[in-house]
Order: sequence, then structure tokens, then C-alpha cells
Amino acid sequence: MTQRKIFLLGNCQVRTLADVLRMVFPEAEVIEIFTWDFADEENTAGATQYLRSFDVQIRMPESHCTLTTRHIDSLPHQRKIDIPSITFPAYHPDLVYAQLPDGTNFRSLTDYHSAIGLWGWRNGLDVATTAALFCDDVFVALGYDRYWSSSVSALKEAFDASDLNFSHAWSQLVRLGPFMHTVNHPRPAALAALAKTMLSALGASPAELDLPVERYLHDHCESEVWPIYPFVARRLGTMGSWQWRVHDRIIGSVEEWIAASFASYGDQDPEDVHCWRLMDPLFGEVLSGRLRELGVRGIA
Amino acid sequence: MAEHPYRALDATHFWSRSVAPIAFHEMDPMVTAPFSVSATDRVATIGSCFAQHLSRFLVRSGLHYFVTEEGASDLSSEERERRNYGTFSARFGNVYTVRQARQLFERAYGQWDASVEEIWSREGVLVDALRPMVEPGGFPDEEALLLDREHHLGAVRRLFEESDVLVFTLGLTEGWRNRESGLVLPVVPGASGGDFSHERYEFVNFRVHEVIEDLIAFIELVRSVNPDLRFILTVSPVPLIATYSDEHVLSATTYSKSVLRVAASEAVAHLPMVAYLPSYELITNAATAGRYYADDLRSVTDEGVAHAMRVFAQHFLEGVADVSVAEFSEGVRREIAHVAAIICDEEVLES
Repeated sequence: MTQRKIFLLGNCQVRTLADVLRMVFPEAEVIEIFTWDFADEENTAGATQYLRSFDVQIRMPESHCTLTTRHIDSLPHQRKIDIPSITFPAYHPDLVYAQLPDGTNFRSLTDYHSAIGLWGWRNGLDVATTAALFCDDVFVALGYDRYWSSSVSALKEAFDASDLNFSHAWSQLVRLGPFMHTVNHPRPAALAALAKTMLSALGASPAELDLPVERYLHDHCESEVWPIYPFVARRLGTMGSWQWRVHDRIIGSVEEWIAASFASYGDQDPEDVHCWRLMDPLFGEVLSGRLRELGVRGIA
Repeated sequence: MAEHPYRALDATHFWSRSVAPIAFHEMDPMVTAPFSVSATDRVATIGSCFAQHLSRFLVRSGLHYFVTEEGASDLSSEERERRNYGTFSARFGNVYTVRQARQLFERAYGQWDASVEEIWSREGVLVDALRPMVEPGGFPDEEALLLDREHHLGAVRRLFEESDVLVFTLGLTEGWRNRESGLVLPVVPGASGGDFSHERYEFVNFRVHEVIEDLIAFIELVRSVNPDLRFILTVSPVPLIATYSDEHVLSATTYSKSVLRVAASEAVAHLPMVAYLPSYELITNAATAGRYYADDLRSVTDEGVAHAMRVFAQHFLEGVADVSVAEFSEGVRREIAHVAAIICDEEVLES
């Protein structure tokens, strides 16, 4: 390892990746910088100047900030390694984001929402009726048991668009069991798999690649844990649950989650909340059909 | 690049493509089913305790689970379950060894002198030694037991003659045999009734050639009364609870399952309309890393059973199309792209 200074640019996942680099290359200077660190041009200009002294830049593609590839591509004498971030919805097909008209995330308890729960709220359902939509028939109709192959394909595409080898990472990920806390928050072992593939691209030695780094990592992505619904879990050969974790709070049932979400939505106008998933006509068809089975009237 | 025969083979022939990169819950070692099962086919089950999972699946899946011994019509569902009506297609209880299955047919068709079939006592009642667990409360007297046995063997005959598909789960090679009659028992005498003695009973661990011979003979015997019957063979992934052999129970399990697995392949190779469902491989393969076993490393979890049944449905059931992911791939892909572009507001707040 000849590089002495390495910076990583990306989302929250780079924090753990940087920890791995510091562990494996203790002599190197490693910093992680986040997409949100560069909110304006002034910061960007200063950062670009500072980063000129680094030997290696490792970057995720989702760097939607003023520090664009236009800036960092211009840095001389640097080795550039493009890496993917891990996004994998198969374990949590009901988890969605939603946006407000100004493009910011619609936050409730967290940035994450249950798609079914959000649909119930937008349609003016009460907590109990919304909770009654969480059943196996609905999950089947919404295809919640059919996200795996698409998730794998999408992850492979993300790797193929980077400088990292998918097969190397996947051979580790696939043995971990549920490796995501949420759709975009991997567990430490999953990030260790990504990190080891990154180390391989960096030319780490076999001894360095064999280090059991996963045993030493902090879990920087654990603030929210979305349950793997039992229906989905059965399909994925693992245990399911109905417990959400939001920071230090455990929410232990669908009813409790829906109630807490609805309470946090407050007086937000549902018409101003946009969610990609809910634009799929299938969603309305399936859930409206379920409401008719429940004898609930007045929903289109 | 030089040509060789492997170049023309598809991915299922290669470990690197069909095992190593596959998530354990996606593993499907079944290549081709030689026949299908329709919703109207009468599907019967027999075999070791793992076969009970299959019975329950058949009931839930809407297939025609063929039960020929249903009990009195006024029995409640709880009572029916408690007394093992419907646990298997007839009340033969667990048929662990292939020799038991062969002898079951022979007994049902009068090839054994009924007087050699033992009756055991258990806590003041009588039990049928060849199915001691099916009637938890036992029988009050010999007449009641013999009447039920006669009814049972009639139900067994109907099962063999009228089923369209018989799913046979091979469980064990070890058993206990009456030295005089040669009848193989489902459980060691003394454990669920009866009195054990070495003079009267002997331990037997069937060798591979015996199991092959028994299995082929059993299939041919059943087909002598039902020529069109289709067989689906499985090997139970449940390890031995105990071995009476001199081997460690782990090695004894490996021996037993290996023999049964070989016998299944021999039957498939030598007889038409016999299929092998690889539930054993699904549960035990290295990719699962034991995840399909409960904490005792013996009981198969519901998730494991569900996986085996999914493969069964995918390959055997008519009308179960390939579960298409194509319709979801575009939506999932779009959503992933969207999620990947999102900056966690919370991270920004904490930065």
C-alpha cells in the first residue's frame, strides 16, 4: 500500500468504509466526507483545494451535492475508485420515502414510511382499518415476496457501474442472512463485505483482506431498524417480526406503528405528500379491494 | 478454446453458477420433474415425521390431499387431530424405514399371518405395536383394537389403489425387528408400550442393497394394484434422534441419509414415473449454514419446510407459473434509483 491519503465521498455508508480503511491501513490518512457537507460553492471550493493533496479518492455515485465529479475529476495525480452504495429493498418491500413539494423528505417518526400505512393515511383511514391492510393476501398481491431477484439485479448493476467486482462482494453478502436494517442502511457485516471488495480494488494483500474487520466495526446505520414482515421473512428463509426501532424507541406492533406515524403526520396536507410507490395503480387496486373485503365503504 | 462436453451444459450443472452465488432461500436443485400434479389428483403421503409437513401443506394449498381413514363423522377437528386422523393419508403413523412400508403393503393384502402382529399394553390400555402412537388413549380391549386394525388396513388398501400420487418420505435405516416374525417396528419396544427383551427383538440397520431392494419392491407391489400411480420420493432431513449402532449419532445419521438418498436415485433410475424431490438437499446444503434447523439442530423450521414446499409447487403443480419477477423489476429498479439518490435528512441534521 503506497497511498498515504485517502478520502471517501458518499452517503452514510462511507463512515463504516472509512473505519475499515483506517483499521487495515493504519499508516494512511483516511477521511470520509458526506454529500451534505457541501451545501454551497464556497465550501466546495475550499474542499476541492484541500482534497488536492490526497492520493486516492473513493466515491459513490449518489454524490448529489455541489462537490460534483466535475470538481473532483479535476484533481491531479489521484487514483479514483468508484464504488456503489448498497441499496437492497428485498427485506423491506413496504418501506418507502415520500417527498414534499419543495423536494425535501416528508418526515414523520423517521424519513421512512410504510407504503401501506401512507396509503391508509392519504385515504383518510383510521389506525385500525389501516392496520387491517397488513395481511398475507395483500402482501402477495403487492408482490412483497418478489423483490429478491430485482434487488439482486439492481445491486449488480450498481457494482457493474463502479470499479468493484460484484461477485466478490455478493459471495459474502449472500451468506450473511438479513444484511440490511432498512433499504439503504446495511448492517456492519454487509459494509465489511463492500469494504473488502473495495480493499481488493485498492490492491490490499491477501493477509489484509483476511482480517476479520467486521468484528470491530461500529454500527453507524442502526438508528432505524425496519422489521422484516413475517410474510416476507418466510419467503426469505428467516425469522420475521413486527418491531420497529427508531433511535432508542421500540415500536412493537403494526397498530402501534401506524398510530405513531399518523400522530406524527399531524396536519400535513396529504395532497402535498408525494410517494413514487403510491403512483403505481396496483397499489390502489389491491388496497381498495382489501377494504371492500373488510366492508369499508367510501374508498375509490 | 478447446471444446468438451461440459461446454454445452446449462448453469444447473455448475456449482459456481447454481450454488455459490445463490441465496439459500433461492436454492432450487430440482431440474426437471418427470410429471405434474393437478388440483384434482388424489395425493397421499406416507413416511417419516417430515412427511407430516407435506400433509399440512397439501391441505393448505388446496390440493386434493387424499385421506382414506378419516374417523367417525361426528369427531371434532381437535379430536380428529389428536387421534392422528389426517396426519397421514391413513392412520399408519410414522413409517420410518422402507421395510416397514413394504411390510405395510404385504400386511394389507394378507401376505402376513395376522396373528404375528403384536399387541402391546401401555398404562392399562392396549396399543397396536405397528402404530403405537396413532391412538393416544389406546384401546380398551383386544376386540376394539383388532376392529380398528381391520378398518385401518382396509383404508390402506384403498389408499394404495385409488391414489394418483404417493409422496413417500424416507426417514431411517435403523429399526427394531421381531426376531420370530420379522416384522419391523416403528419404535423400540418399551418406549411407547410393550416390553423390551433382546431375546424377542433385534436391532437392525438396513444396508444399502436391502433398502434399494425394499424400495423397488414396494413401488412395484403398489403398482400391482394401481399401475398408474406416480411416486414422489423425498429423504427426510431430520437427523436421527438416537442411534443404537456403534457409530456416533452424527456419523450414523450420515450413513442413514446417504443410503436412503442412494435408494431414491436407484428407484428413479429403474422405474418410470418416480420422481425425487430434493427437500433433503434444500435443508442441509452448505449455503443454509444450519438456518433451516431449530436450536436443537434437528427440527426443521417452518421456513425450511416452506422452502421445500415452494420447490415442490414450482416443479410439480400444474398452473403454478414461474414466479415472474419481470413485472416487478422495472418498478423496483426505478425505486432503488430513487432511494439511492436520497440524502438522509436525518444525517444532514446530525452532521
